[in-house]
Amino acid sequence: MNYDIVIGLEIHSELKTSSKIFCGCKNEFGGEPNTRCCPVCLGMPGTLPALNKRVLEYAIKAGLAMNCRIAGFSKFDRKNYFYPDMPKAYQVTQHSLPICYDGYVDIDVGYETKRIGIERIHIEEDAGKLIHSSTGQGSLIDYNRSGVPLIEIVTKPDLNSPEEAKILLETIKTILEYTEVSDCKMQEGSLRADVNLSLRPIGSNTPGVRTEMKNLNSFRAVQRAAQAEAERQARVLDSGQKVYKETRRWDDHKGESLPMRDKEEVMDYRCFPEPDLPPVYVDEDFINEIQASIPELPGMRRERYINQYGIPKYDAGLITQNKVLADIFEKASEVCGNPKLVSNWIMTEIMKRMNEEGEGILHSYLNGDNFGQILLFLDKGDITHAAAIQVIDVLLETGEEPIVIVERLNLRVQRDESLVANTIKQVVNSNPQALDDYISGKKKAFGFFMGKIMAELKGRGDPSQVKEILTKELQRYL
Amino acid sequence: MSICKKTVTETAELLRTRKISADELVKEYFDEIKKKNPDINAYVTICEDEAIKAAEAAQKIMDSNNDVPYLCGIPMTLKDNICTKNIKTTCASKMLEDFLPPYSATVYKKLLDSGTVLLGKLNMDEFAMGNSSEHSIFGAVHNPWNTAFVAGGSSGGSAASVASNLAAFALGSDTGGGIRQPASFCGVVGLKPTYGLVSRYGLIAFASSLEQIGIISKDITDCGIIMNVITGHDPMDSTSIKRPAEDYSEGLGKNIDGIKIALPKELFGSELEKEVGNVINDTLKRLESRGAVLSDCSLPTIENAIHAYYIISSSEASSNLARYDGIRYGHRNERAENISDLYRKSRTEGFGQETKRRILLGTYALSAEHQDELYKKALKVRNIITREFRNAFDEYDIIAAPVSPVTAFKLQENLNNPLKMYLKDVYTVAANLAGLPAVSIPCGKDKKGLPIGIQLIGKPFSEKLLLNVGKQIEMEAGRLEII
Amino acid sequence: MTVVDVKTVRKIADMAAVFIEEKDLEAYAAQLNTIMEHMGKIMDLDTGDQEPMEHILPVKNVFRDDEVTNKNIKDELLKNASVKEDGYFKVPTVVE
Ligand SMILES: [Mg+2]
Ligand SMILES: [Zn+2]
Repeated sequence: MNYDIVIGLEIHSELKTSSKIFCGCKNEFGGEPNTRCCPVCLGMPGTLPALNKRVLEYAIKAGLAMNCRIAGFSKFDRKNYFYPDMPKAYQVTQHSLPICYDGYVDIDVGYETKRIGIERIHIEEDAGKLIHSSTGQGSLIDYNRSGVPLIEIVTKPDLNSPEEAKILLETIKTILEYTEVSDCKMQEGSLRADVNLSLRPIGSNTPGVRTEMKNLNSFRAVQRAAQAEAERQARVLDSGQKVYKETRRWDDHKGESLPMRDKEEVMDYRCFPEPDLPPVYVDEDFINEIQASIPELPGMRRERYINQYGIPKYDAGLITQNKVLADIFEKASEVCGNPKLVSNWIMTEIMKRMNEEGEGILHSYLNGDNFGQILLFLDKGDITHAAAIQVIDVLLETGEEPIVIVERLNLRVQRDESLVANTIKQVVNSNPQALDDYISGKKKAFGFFMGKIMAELKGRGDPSQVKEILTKELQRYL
Repeated sequence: MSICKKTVTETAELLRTRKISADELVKEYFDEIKKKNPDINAYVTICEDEAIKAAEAAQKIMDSNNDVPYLCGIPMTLKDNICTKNIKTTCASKMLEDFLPPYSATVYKKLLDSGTVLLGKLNMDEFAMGNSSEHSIFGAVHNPWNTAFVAGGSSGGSAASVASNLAAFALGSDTGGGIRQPASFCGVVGLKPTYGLVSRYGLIAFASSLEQIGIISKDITDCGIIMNVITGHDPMDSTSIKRPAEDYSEGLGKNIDGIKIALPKELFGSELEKEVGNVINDTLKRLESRGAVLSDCSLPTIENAIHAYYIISSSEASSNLARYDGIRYGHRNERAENISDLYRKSRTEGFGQETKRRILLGTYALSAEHQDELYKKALKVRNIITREFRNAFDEYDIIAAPVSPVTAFKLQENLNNPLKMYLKDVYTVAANLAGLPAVSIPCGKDKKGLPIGIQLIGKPFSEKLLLNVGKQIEMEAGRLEII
Repeated sequence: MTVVDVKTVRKIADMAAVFIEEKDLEAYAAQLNTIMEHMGKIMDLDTGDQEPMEHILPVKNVFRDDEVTNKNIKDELLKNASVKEDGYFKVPTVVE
């Protein structure tokens, strides 16, 4: 049978505040185990939470950026369950009245724009981390992450393919980066998604039974997990069996998912209002203040790039998907004055490196200013294409100024006409066979000479100049 | 008269006038504790070495400094659910038998800053669940008036220590009467402040929305003095209130002409023992003769207060006590083979019967199946009760009632009948549901010679008025002292 | 009417991660049933359209500033744990 795929995402994003959500411990990834902890984030007896105001501001900011309505009144609840990484045995979250609700995000699927509903965004706390003991016996707990502020973004089940799910996650990541509420480092788990997926026979209105896959922490994993789950459910349904409402764990290495607990077991979280935290009332002024602090978002920025810089829609879309990259583009365009050149180089050289080495290169020595300088040298013909690539390589390694690299490695194009002419004469004279070939009409010999000459000039010759002089020189033998 | 019988005010005067030094005073108390505590079992931890050091330090301050805090050198004690840094805080539970908090409760910090000396930590019902102080791994607290009887609870150790002169004053906690009822059973003053007036930071939680740390003292004046120290906003407790400081010890005993006191008929129900009722009525008449205006009134929904109380408190307890899993602190079963085993075995061994009973009750009341009809319903009732109080306080200044329908009962008497035990809280729980201040003042004794207390409930932050009217009662009835 | 029976006790004990021995189940069920029958009287009360009271205080918007105020006190925090390893708290193997 053929089915429609119905997907909703629950996206958890850690907020990049200085301190944790309920105590004055440092909010930072990693560190020696249990060194960024205090009695509060360890849930010791008698301790109480005190809400970090910035957490509320960031959650609202994210909500506004996703076109949500902001609740004038919201509050906190306890979600009770036992797990060793949850020191209080309850998670403080916003179960009944989330701070943001009823929003949307537009995504680009091929040439279409699709609107995905945001059901709610709520504030909650992260849990600690479990690792296996090096002795092979037992598990170890590090509570440094316990109490790190999170927002959970719950979408409506508006996604209809694994690809859309991936694109939505990419889009939301971009929004969170633009609004600077989260650093979205997926490899560090600061952005992760749960995939809720069900199938519905095409043409049917009855929603299918959905499963949930937890804690997917890469775009690829989201897409693959959704794809595999859609296929699994189709097989189950096609064989006349039932899909169970269950939570499954995706194993990205094996490319398959397995149920997490018994099917019968339905978790009863016994949610109730957190008595230790007073409710939150938000007024218009507060919201307006936060609204004013929201920067230009990716969609708007993309339109501006198309109009202002005249770069292709596709390029503009890709570049604006990453705020740091977009910032580099803008600055580099300003420095070198040729946005199309910058855009081309980002789409090729930079994207290639990002694919190979990861996004880290955007946070290293490369910035809009030095990238722009390199492209300015290129644009003025001061260095060759190959030399520009070489400067980027060295820059990423040493962080030197482009001008310093160009001078140190002697990369400036060699335009001294007599020197170039002499080199050409010499090469032509010392390769009589090639000259004979050329004279007898074998045009390939021209390329041979070009290569030899450029090598002799150590790659610094200006190809058009060399070509012009070489043509004249060879003319003499015809 | 033994110096330990003296009030905080009297003791402070002796210290100030150099009639005794702080370290001598503390030693007197430890002599008394060693003599009497074995029979009463109020203390579970005695901090003799630390206390002597602290007293010597207090004496140095008094010797060298003109700006000496009023309570400097005063020996005091704390219920064992108030965290004291590096001093065992057990909640009278096997679960926390060896727990050494790496932090102090805000109230304890405030008391230390004011120069008081901690003598030790006090027995109680495990995790403050109970009203007889029998549910304790350290054994029951005995009533100093007659050791065959309970001291009340859950702050039984606090009331018994002050009544038997084993501390100048004590702090306890009141979730549903936990300070007022033992104060009444032991013949001392017990005050539960308005919810939010005293920081709960470092008070080991039982039912967060109901409980407050409060005072057990020998008289009303002491109570006011200690209020001045322990109240105030605390950024560590988001439910603590920001408001201007008051002097609770000032002007006590001033005339109460025209003060309107209401007597809700629901708090004088059929369960009220006649003897207790008579003493309360006599006390009220004497207040009338001093100018108070008495009226009958009705707070109809208060009859459901006990139901709402047990549902809400157990629900919150089931969540507050879920953290005890033996991993980071507390009792741990060493033989557990997997994580679920670790939880189950540690918790089963670490918690006593009554605690487990409340956890089960609360889990039941919060479960998806019953939450609406029990927990949420109880919150609705709580709202109605609060409104009924508010309406009453539009007309009256104070609500008066017995603290308990009975005087202290015999040890073991109710231990196997939890419901019967719970129902004894019928007069105290409403103040907790509505977050109101309430004080218990000794006003007489029954034929067995056991103390009876009267309860005054006020509108939020009316502690000064409560203490003033309480002072009138104290002036009429006199302090109850064990001879 | 029995509201709490042995089956219920078993279920809620499991939810609350406590273990009630088979021999005690009956007694627990009987006691809890007596208590719940009494406390359950609250269900009969007409509360009309009354809202549940979630906070007794008229307090709202209590925040702290986003400042790091705590230091590393790892050793003090681990002091009360009976089983630990290399600065971690330790538990029996948790299979994910
Ligand atoms: Mg969540
Ligand atoms: Zn912390």
